[in-house]
Amino acid sequence: MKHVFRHALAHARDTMRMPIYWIPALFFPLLFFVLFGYTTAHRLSQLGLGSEYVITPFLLFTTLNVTLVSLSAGVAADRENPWESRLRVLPIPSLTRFAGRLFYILTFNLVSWIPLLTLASFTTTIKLPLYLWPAWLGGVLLGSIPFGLLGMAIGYRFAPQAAMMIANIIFMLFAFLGGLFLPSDQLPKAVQPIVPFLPTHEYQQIVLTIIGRADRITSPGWTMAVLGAWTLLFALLARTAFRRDEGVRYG
Amino acid sequence: MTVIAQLDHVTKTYGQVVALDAVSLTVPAGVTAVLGPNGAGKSTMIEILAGLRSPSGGQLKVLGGDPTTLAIKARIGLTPQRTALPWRLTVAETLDLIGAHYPAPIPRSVIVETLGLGAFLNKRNGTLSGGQRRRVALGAALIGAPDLLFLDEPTTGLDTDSRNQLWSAISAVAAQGRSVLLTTHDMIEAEHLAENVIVIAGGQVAREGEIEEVIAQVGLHLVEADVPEGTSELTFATVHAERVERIGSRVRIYTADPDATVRALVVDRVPFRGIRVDRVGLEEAIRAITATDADAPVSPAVGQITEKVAR
Repeated sequence: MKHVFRHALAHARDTMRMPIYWIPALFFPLLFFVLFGYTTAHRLSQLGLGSEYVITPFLLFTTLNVTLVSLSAGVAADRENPWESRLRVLPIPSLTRFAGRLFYILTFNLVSWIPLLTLASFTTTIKLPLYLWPAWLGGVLLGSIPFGLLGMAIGYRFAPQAAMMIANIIFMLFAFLGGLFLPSDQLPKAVQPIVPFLPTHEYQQIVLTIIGRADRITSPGWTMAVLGAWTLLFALLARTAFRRDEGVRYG
Repeated sequence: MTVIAQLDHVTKTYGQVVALDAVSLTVPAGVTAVLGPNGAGKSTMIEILAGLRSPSGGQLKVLGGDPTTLAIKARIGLTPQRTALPWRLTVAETLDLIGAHYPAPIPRSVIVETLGLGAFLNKRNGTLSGGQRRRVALGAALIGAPDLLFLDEPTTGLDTDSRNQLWSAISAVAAQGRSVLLTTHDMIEAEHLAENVIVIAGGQVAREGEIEEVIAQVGLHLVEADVPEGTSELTFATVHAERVERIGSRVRIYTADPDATVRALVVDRVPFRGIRVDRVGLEEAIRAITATDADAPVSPAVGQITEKVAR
């Protein structure tokens, strides 16, 4: 386990020294919230309702961005660096290094929420009881794991520039169609039938269920089944991409 | 003889390309240089021995075991051909990260002193010069106290000072009883560092053994003399030469039979002066081996006239 932390720390140091990466990752979601969410959150507060319902999609948006886009770009960039060859001859299983990267990404997610939650806490009213906060934020974090697997699949399959572009396209499509920008009933009629099949929609449903604000389009059983199926698919894609990459570069 | 690696009919193919063709050899302890032209299969062999690539066929043992197992990985170190460092970590962070994975690492302070890394220990790898990076990469390969160190072209692109510093460090490593397997195109480097050489050409082992032994096996000599400028190339057509080079007034004749060559020069009344006969060095020996074994013509060096002369 100590090696997992060591590799996570190395990734964290690497990221900290690259402001061009972490500044947008921290502040774009904040900007989005200010532009598109703050007014609604503030209005809900004035009506005596909790703003967590409005904050949640922005938290998911931030987390999805870090987990899917940043992870895929990071993995793709690392593959280009011969340092990867040096790490491969370390006397540890490959899984340790992957776990280190995943641990780092999850930790970075926690940090990426700070600006957004700080602003929301001081300017709107979050009415969620304190004991539900761990479940709320834990749901956001753990629900992002399938997207991390997708990020790895993209990172292992494509060159850095292509990985970044493909991850961004998928991220925007998933975010929009999954109802992170607009409630699903306000989406175009043509796409509404596919919404309950999308991982982002069910990801959001899990977290909204924790705070008691799910839209009831789908049942919890359906949500778990859909997320389980996507997780399995993304895990298979990640495994296939990893094996293919190993075959091409080290086979 | 202590053996550090054994290959038994190891083959490696990339699609239709055969990089290693049923290579069988035994690598002794000590410093061994793997030599051969570009594309000969040197790096592929190192990568297979270091457990980075799987062979398409055949068997191999490194330090008595499978190089892909953690137990063997704990006993080897590697610097890949392209300098491999995490650019935004400092030298100290890099060494600490790598060293922490080994059961009995060499203290960082020892590595720093041995390789002269103190002046830039807290600098990020990305800000270092090429020579400094190479030394850090060597430090990262050494810090695990490996029994066997793989160095893939360790000094390519370095200036003379940096190269000499790295040579000293590698010699110091060898003096500690660690084995080193290195690839290089620099024959001076091979002669300076290695006791043994493995010559690869066309994916096969063309020669292996101690340096002097390999040179002797080639049996090539160099007859060097001054001749008047303007002496016709045809003058050397009957001097039993493998190859003739002209650099100004100096003529260099590579021959398997130096006595016959000198006799022919005398009989043909070639007006030579300052004649010198010597056995060829490693570079010429390797050139002769790979030109013959790979069945490929040797490219003339820049500024030289090279001509294959029929006996």
